[in-house]
Amino acid sequence: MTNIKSLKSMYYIAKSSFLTIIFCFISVISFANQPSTNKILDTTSVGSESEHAHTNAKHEESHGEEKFNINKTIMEHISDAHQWHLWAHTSLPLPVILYTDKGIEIFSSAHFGHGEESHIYQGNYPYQLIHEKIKVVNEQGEVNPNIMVLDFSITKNVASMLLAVICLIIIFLSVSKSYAKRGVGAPKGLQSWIEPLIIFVRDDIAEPNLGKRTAKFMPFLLTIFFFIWFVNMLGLIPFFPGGANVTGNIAVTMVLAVDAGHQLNKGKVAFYMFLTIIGGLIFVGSQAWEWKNFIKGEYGAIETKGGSLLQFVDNKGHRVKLSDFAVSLPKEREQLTRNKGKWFMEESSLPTYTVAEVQAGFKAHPELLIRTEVIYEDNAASKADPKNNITLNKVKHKTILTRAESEHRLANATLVVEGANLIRNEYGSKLFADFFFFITGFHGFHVFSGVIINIIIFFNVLIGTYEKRRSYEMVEKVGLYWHFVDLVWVFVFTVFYLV
Amino acid sequence: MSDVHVSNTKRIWFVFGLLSVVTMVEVFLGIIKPESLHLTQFLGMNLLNWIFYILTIFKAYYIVWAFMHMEGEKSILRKVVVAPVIFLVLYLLFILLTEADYIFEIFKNSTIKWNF
Repeated sequence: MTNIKSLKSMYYIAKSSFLTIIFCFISVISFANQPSTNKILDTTSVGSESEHAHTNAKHEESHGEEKFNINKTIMEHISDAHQWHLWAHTSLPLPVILYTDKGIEIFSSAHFGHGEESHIYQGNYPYQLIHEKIKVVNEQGEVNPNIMVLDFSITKNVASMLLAVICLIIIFLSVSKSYAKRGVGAPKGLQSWIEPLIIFVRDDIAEPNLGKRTAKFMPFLLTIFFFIWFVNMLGLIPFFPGGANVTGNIAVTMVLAVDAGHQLNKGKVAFYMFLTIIGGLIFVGSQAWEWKNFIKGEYGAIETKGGSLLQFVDNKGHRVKLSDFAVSLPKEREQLTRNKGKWFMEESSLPTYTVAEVQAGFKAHPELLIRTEVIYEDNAASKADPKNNITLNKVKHKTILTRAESEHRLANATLVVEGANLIRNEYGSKLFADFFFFITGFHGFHVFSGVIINIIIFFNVLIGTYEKRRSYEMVEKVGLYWHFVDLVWVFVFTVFYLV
Repeated sequence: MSDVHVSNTKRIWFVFGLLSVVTMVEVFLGIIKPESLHLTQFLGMNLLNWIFYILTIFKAYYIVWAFMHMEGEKSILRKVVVAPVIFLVLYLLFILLTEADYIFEIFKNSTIKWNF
C-alpha cells in the first residue's frame, strides 16, 4: 500500500458497509413482498405442504431408514430461510419483522416451529410459514390472499450479510489503524493479509478497466469486492456461521448489479443502450398508432368525378363525420370477393356508406356545408365569389362553400373516401398521403432496423464482447447510424408535421 | 482519453437539452400559429415556415456536429462533407420548384381542370 488514499478507503469501506446492509434489506423486501392472488394455487401448495409434513412424520418414525435426499439438503442450504439451521434438528431462530395494515410486529421465528412442519402463529393475524414465505391463513390453513404482509425479517441471508459486515468493519478498522500507525512501512498482522488483496483489486481489476479514474472508484470497488468475497467465504462454511447463499439470491445480485451499473463503464453503456432501445420502440409504436388512425380515418369524405375532395362541416365550420348524418338505404352494392368472381377478381372492402346514402343524408341536414381543398385567400376576388361562404371562411384555411354551391358540388360525387392510403385520402391531397406514408414508412423502417441493431449491441455489451476487445467502437458506429436516422427525422418532422 | 470522455458527456447532455428546447418551441409555434408570423410573406414563404426551416437546420447542425462527432474532424473534411450536401439541396430545391411551378401552371391555365 503506497499512498495515503488507501487509508481513506479503509474508513470508506467501514462506512459503506452500513449502506450495503440497506441494499440487503431492499432485496429481501422485494422478494418477500409477493402477495399471492391465486387462491387455488395457494391452497394446493398448502395441501402439498401438509402432505410433505405427513411423509416427514413417517420418516421420523422409521428414523434409521431415512434416505439421504441430496437435493433437499442442498436446497435447504442455498435457499433463504427464517431460521438458521445448526445441526440435525436444531436451528437458530431468527427475528421475524412483519408489517401489515395493523402495524409492525416482531417475534421469533421459533413460533413457526422448525423443520418442515410449520405451526400457525397468532400475531395480529394468524401467520404460517409456507415455502419460506409468511402468509396469513384461516383456521383451515387456507391462505388469505387479501391481506398483504411485508416481510422485513432478519432471514438467514440478511443475518449472514450482517455477519460479513461486522467482520469487514472489525478487520478494516484494525487495518486502517495499522496504516495510520506504520504509514507506508512493512505491513503487519491483518494488514499483511489484506494488502495483497487490495493491490490485486487495484492492479488487476480496476486499472485495466478504469484507467485514470481508478483512484476515484477504488473505495467503492473495494467495498463491493470485500463484501461479496466475505459473504461467499461465509457461504462456503457448511455449518453455523456460514451456510447462507447470499449472492445466489437473485435479488441481492440484482441490487448490486444495478448499483454497479451506475458506477462502471460497461454498466453505463448497457444502461443507455437499454434506454435507447426503449425510446426507439416508443417512437416506432407511436408511428404505428398514428398510421393506424390515418388508415382507418375519422371523418370520411367524398371524391367527385373531377378528383376533388369534399369534406363536410357544420354551420360553425367544425368538421362532421359521415356517420353523423348519412342515412341508411337498402344495399345496392355487394363486395366482390374472389369466390364470386369469374377469374381471380376481388376488390378492397367497400366504404361504410354509399354515395347515395351520403347525398340523402346531406339533403336531410340543411345545416351541413362542403369544405374544399382550395386554400381561401382573403382578397377581393374570393370575397366577391358568390360560391364562397362569407361568414365561415378564414384566410389560409380550406374554403367553405355556401349551401347552394355545396349541393351543386355534391351532385358530382363518385366515391366515399374513408381514411388515408396511397390512392385516396380523406384528410386532403392524395399526393400528401403518398409522400407521408412513403417517407414516414421509410424512416420508421430504418428506426426499426436501428432498434434491432441496438438490441444486438445491448446484448454484446452485457456479455462483455467489447470489454474483451478493449474498444467500444462498434457502439460508436451503431450510434452514428442511429443519429443519421435522427437527422433525417429532424427534416421529416419539419416538412410533414410543422410546415 | 478519459478527460475527453467526461467533457463529451456534458456536451451530449447540453445538446440534448438544447435540441429538446428547440423542438418544444417549434411544436408550440406550430400549435398557436401566430398570425403575425403566419400571414407575413417573405421571399415566397411565410415567416413561420422560415422559422421552422431555420430551427431545423440549427438542430441538424447540432446533431451532425455533436452527436455524429463532426466537430472533432479536421476543417477540410468538414467542408468536403458539408459543401456537396448544401449544393445538392439547393440544386434539388431549384429543380423541384421549377418543375412544380410548371405543372401548376399547366393545370391552372390549360384545358385540364385544376381541381385540388
